[in-house]
Amino acid sequence: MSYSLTYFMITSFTIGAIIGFIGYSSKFCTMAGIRNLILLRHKEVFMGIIGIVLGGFLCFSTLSLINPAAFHNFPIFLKIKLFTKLSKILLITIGSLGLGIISTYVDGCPFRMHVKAGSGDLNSIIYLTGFYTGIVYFILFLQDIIMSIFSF
Amino acid sequence: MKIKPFYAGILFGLIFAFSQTFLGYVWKDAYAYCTIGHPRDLIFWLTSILTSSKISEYTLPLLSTFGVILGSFIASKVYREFHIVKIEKSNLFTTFALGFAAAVFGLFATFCPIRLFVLLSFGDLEVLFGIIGYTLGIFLTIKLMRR
Repeated sequence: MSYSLTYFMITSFTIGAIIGFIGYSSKFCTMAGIRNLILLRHKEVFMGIIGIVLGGFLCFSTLSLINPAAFHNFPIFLKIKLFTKLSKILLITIGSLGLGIISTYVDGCPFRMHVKAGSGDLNSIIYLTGFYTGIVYFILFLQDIIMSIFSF
Repeated sequence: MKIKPFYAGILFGLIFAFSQTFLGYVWKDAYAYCTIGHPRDLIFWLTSILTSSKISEYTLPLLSTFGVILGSFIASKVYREFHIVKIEKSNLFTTFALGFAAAVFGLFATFCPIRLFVLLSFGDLEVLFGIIGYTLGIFLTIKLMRR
C-alpha cells in the first residue's frame, strides 16, 4: 500500500467526523428506522436505510467507471462465489440478531450511540466503554475459541 | 432534523464510494466506515505495537469512530443543542454490559449495521442473512418489551 499510517489515521478521522456531523443532523439510526416502521408505521427514518442502499449502489456503479481497479469486486455476487461457508452465514446471522436485540434495548445502533456520546449523553459513554472493552476482550480471549467452534 | 435521513443515507453511500475511489480504502469492499471493524483494526494495531507481534499490512489504526464522536459534538454545538445527559446510576452496569455484548455480537458478524446495508448496495448477498437477523432481533425485542 502506498499510503502511510498517518494518512489513514487522518482520513479515517475526517471521514468519521463528516459521517458524525451528518448522523447528528439527520438523527440517522438503522435500528430506529426498522423499529419505527414495525411499531409506528413511520417511514421517515427508515428512508435513511433506503437512501444508503440506493445511494451506495448508484455511487458505487458510477464511480466504478472512473476507477475500476478500486472496484474489482463490484458487484460481489457476480465476482465471488457466495454462500460457500455455512459457518460464516451462521456467524453473520447470530451476530446481527444479537446486535438487533441490544440496539433496540439501548435505543440506538452502535453508530447512533457514538453520535449520542458526542452530543453529551453520558450513558452512551458508559455504553461505549463497555463496547471498546468488549472489542479488546473478544480479540484477546474469544476470537480463537469462536474460530475453532465455527471452523466448519 | 436538519437533513432528512434519506439524503443522509445517500450522502453516506457517496462517502463510502468516494473513499474507495479516491482515498485508497480498497483493501476491503465498502470499508470507509465501520463501527465494529475500525475499532477492531485499531486495537489489533495497538496490541501489535505493544507486543511487537506481526500483523497484516492492512491492519491500520483507523480512527473513524472517534471522528464520529467529534463530528456529532461539533454538530450539537453548531445547532446549540449540546447538553449533558446524566448517568442513570441504577443502569450503569447494564449499559456497560450491553455495550460489551454489542461489540461481541458485532465481531461475530464482522460488520456494523451501517456497513451491513452498504455491503448490500455493493452486491454482497450474504448480508441478507444479517439483515434478516437484525430485523428479527429488533422485532423480537419490540414484542418482548410490549408485554
